Amino acid sequence: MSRLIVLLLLLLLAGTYSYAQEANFNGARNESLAEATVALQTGWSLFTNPSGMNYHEKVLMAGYQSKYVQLGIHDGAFGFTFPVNNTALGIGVAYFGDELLSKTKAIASASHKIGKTSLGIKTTYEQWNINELGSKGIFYVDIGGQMVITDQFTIGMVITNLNQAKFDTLNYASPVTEVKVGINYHPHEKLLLLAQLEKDVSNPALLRLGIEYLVSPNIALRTGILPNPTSGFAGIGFNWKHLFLDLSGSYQQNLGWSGSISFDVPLKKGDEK
Amino acid sequence: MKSKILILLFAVLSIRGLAQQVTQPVDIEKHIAQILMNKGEEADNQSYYELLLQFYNNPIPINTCQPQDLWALQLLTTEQVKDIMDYRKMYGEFKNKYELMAVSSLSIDKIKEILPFLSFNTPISLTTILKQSVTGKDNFLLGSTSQVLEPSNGFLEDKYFGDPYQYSLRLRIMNPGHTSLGLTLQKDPGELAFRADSLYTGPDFYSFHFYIQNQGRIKQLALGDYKLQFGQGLVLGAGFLAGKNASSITSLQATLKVQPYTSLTEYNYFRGAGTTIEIIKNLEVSVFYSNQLKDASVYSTDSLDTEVTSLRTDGLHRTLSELTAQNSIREQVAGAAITYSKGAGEIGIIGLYNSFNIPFSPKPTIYNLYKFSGKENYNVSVFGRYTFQNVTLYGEAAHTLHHGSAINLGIVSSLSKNIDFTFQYRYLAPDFHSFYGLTFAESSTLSNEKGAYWGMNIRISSSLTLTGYFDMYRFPWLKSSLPKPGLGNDGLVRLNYKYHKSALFYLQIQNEQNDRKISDAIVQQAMAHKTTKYILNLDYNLENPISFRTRLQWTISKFETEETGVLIYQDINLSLRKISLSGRYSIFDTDGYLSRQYMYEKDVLYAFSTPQFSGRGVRYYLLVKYAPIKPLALRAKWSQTIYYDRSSIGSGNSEINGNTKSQFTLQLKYDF
Repeated sequence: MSRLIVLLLLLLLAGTYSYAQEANFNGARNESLAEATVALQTGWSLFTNPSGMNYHEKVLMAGYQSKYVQLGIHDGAFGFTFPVNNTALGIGVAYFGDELLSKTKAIASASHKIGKTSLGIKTTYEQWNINELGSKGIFYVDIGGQMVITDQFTIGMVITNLNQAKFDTLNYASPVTEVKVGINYHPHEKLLLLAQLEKDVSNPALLRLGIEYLVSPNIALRTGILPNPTSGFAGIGFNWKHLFLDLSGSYQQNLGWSGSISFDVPLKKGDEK
Repeated sequence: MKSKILILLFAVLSIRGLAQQVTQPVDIEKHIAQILMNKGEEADNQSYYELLLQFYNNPIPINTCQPQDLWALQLLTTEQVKDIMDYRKMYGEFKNKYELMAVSSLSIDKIKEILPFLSFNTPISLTTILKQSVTGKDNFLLGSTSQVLEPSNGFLEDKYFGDPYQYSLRLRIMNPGHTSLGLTLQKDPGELAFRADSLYTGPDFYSFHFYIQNQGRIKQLALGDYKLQFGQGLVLGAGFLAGKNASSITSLQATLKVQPYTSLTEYNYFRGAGTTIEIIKNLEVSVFYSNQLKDASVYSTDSLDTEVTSLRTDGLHRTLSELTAQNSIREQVAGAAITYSKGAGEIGIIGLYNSFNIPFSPKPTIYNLYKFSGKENYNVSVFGRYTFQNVTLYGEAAHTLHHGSAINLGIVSSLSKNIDFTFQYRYLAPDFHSFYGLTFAESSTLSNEKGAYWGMNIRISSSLTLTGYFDMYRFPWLKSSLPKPGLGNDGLVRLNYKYHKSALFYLQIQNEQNDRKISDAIVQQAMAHKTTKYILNLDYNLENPISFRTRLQWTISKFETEETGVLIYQDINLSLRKISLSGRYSIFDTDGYLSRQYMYEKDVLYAFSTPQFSGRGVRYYLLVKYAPIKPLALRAKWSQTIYYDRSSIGSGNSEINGNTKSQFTLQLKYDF
């Protein structure tokens, strides 16, 4: 097993980096882990990799990000997921932009778990609004999977925009079709290491790395890196009576600072009735 | 207490092999050379070598030290330091070195590695100390000479005043942990060994120190040449900095306070007196004063005043202009530091004053806008460190009065038994001025930089280690080599595989990107320069008298054009009872200067070389150590570089006509 992680990490680093699409906002925890989170199980998987959604509890989540504070871009997301036997379902909305240009997404995800493997599908309707030019919408499908290999290792995979949807004009704004592969290493209960590689057809591969460390059962410290476009991430998470509050700050070398806050509230299974 | 006796008994009985090994006297040179080899060659070997020698001379008292003292060795993980501290807390003092074996996370190899730098002794009396300062326990006389056989233009055209030999002589009388007395003399090729004229009379470079420590309230006292290390080195950094390297977890510096200066480097030391005194328990005050002449080119202004643009730090005095610059400016430094350390924490403040007798006036260019000008500089700084469980937090914040500030903050932690992690943030304002600082940063100027560094070390199994770091940085203001504020990043990953004790293999990949000035542009511009470096290294037959190393280095550089550089070498080391030989043959082939190759070479004692090669050619050397009788050791090195793509090497005064450069070095060490 250790050989696998080594090979994977080496493979990740050997790749050249590129300026691929900016990641969307998927909650402050994901943000502070450099979005290296396709193998992570969390409520926010609704937006990143549907197969990681929670199969035991309902989860309510919301978050806000001031992206590149100097540029005044806002990111927001809201979602709800709920389990039905070994299936998890979720819906959410996400917003990105400012008064001149904005993007709104409506998302519905579903996933199913069989043993240690789970597979999920995410459908997105995305609408772009450009001041004075009007708006345009597009529909696309992502699929994802996760597999728990041992207690210590989980791998995850996502293919975005499987149906290769495109705007006929506004081509640059079309969602990209890319493959994301990630591995989580959980050497002990306090520590989580994450590595992820992303590749789309027209850009070189992208590497993301993250670390989460529990300083106490209720406080987590996180950091992550994205070598290119060069960015650093850090964050802190609190678990206050089963309410998870996460804060994150990140710095992108060309565009500057971003700050975000988000929370998720897992609702006990009993509430299902 | 009972359990302690049991542990002790078990430890002593069970590991007899170690007992035999650790009671043998340590060949400290060999020991440190081995540590350096394990650390990786990217480390700043010279400063780390000196740091370890410093600890050998001033061993860490294992029974009274604090976690940070052990950390400073840069050989132990947070986990191991914590275990030593916990053991001491639980069972009391370590009676002797064998008791270290009872600390679960310390392997026998690790104990052997750190043992020469630890002390278990109680202090001895002043009379004994003074007596020993003359007689010493670890004394040597070391003489070296070296010459490049092909004369360069500087000699052929009579630009250099001196002969082409390099000489140095060192005398050390030391009693590790207590005293050190040292004298150093040196001259470089082309310099006069002894200069006598109207401007200066004396040897080209000399250095002297008398150092005493742990005498009642006087913790340290240095007379002559010394260096100072406090906090993270923003104001006072003595040069012990491993920097970015493949072991990756070395961003932290230790507060070593006043230390003797023993190097041949002709700048960055203090000349005068410095002392550290214990005022009350845990509270120490260090005060120091230095007064020395330094090298600088002095200009006359229109109003017939004199001024200098900057200090010269190369220590070379060969030509008329270099000789005129020698010792032409007087610098005085005075300062004090207060350090309070207790348990796992340390906190301190520093005040430092520098003054020059001739004012600085840098060239009025835009990149010099924030450079130091005038005659005086004041720095203040606050530093601290605290270890909590497996986490060490550290930091220093410094300020130049009426100018800018600097900050260095970091965390080092063993996240699990096999995973170490570090994060460091630094900000050095363009107008922060520090003459004696040395801190963890990309550029060595100690100003005009912002950056963040992540490092990680994963021991996957006893034979497999994965290390890596990532550093992102920004230069907020211009530099002479950069016509705009610049960006950069640097990432490295290295996989080490150790096969028993006989072979060591590693693969290293480094990716670097930074802004660089475009040559020959009409309007000055910069663009990103990307470099990827691969290293494949194999050491084998390590346990045998004959051992080998094979190395392949490959660099791809992308800037105005794409370049590739390759270096391959093969080493053979032969170690017999009285004689040891080291030889290397290497071939290099690079498309240009940007894909140049560096390689660390073994050298005579206290000499460190990491030469760089560009173009096409071969380089080989042979190093011999011969110790015919106990106190005497003779070392000699012959090296030659032959270029296949040029008819002259170098430029200006150092240009050699021909395609070959050969150097011979001879060194004699006498221990007494």
